[in-house]
Amino acid sequence: MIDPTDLHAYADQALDASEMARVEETIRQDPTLQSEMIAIQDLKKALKAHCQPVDDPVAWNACRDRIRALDQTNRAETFVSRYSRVFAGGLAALIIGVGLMNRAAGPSGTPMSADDVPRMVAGMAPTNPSDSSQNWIRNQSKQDITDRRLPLMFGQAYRGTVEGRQIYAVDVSDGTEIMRLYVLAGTQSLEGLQNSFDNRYQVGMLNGLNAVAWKSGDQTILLMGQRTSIQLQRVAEELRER
Amino acid sequence: MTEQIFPALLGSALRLTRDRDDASDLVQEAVVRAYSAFDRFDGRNFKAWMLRILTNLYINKYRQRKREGHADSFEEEYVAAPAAPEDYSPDRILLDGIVGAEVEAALGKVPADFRMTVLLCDVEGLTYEEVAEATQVPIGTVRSRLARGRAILRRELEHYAEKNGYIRARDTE
Repeated sequence: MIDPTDLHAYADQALDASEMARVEETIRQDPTLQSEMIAIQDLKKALKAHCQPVDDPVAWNACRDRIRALDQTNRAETFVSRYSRVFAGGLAALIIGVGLMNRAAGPSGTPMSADDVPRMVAGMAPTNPSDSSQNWIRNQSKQDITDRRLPLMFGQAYRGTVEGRQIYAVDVSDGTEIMRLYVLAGTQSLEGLQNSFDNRYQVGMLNGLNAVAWKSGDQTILLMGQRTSIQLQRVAEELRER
Repeated sequence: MTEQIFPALLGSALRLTRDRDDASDLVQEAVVRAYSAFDRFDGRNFKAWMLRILTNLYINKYRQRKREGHADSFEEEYVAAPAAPEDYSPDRILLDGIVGAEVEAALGKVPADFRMTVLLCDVEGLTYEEVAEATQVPIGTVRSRLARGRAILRRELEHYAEKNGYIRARDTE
């Protein structure tokens, strides 16, 4: 007599050598067990042959999108938590620098139209191709913000003018898509954006990108990028808190 | 890596849930969890690890549904697989005429615990130890579920074979 589970374990080669030998000898002496063994092996073959993997590109794409969204959130959170002090320092320096340069220039305290944004984006010129953004910010603000990690965050700096309004910008990257941070001098708000549910931000789409804006003194800070509005607000929130 | 085994994961999910939408949800949830917990992957068998996550999720969902009264019995019932009767014809005759849809339909008649064990072992090629880890039961239970599950599956395939004239019903032989 043999335990049926041993017979299956034998078919699955899941017994140790001595057990395999014992079961094999038992089967050899019993035609019924031989039939049973053939039946088990045939069933295993039939399952393997008929139960094929199921390809579904739609399901895979949905899965990949979820992973990308999760990945972006993780990267944004990691980026913000890791570099927020330096980022906040750079932002503060940028705002100070812009403030110093715009004391006597441009219209002040007026809203900026959303229609001006495409012109603003198109009209931004690099400050100096050979000049890194941290040097530019340092020169403007007279603050030393040199940090070895800074190049990981800040890219090219830009300046431009729209309707006599001085605008400065800097590319910000966390290793994925680049966001761009604008400092809009003498601008109280951006028309065409809506208030967030907690009224802390203006949010919406500008020039085909999600945008989050908030007021800082007599300037408006605008963050734009291929991120969700929530992700941009998270970055902005961290910056404002620090 | 995940893309390569995605069809296998989806196939397993489909055979476990018996529902396309549920299967898609289950696989997506499993992949997201695996992504979040990738630092816990021991670097050995990625497919087995993914199947373990998927199976754990399925078990938890299944048990949750059972508590809500929507699922059939999940009770562990050990019944030894009967040895083949002496007049039993080899399944080769039976299985020759069987097609994929019939195997899938017969699998659907096997209770979830047993079906899960048979699929992980026979379709996905997991070892008994890996099946035990995936289904959170001792190896002895894996062995008994395999024997029982295969016996039920054979019986269901016999019904199909008899119905379609591949074999004569045993009581008429």
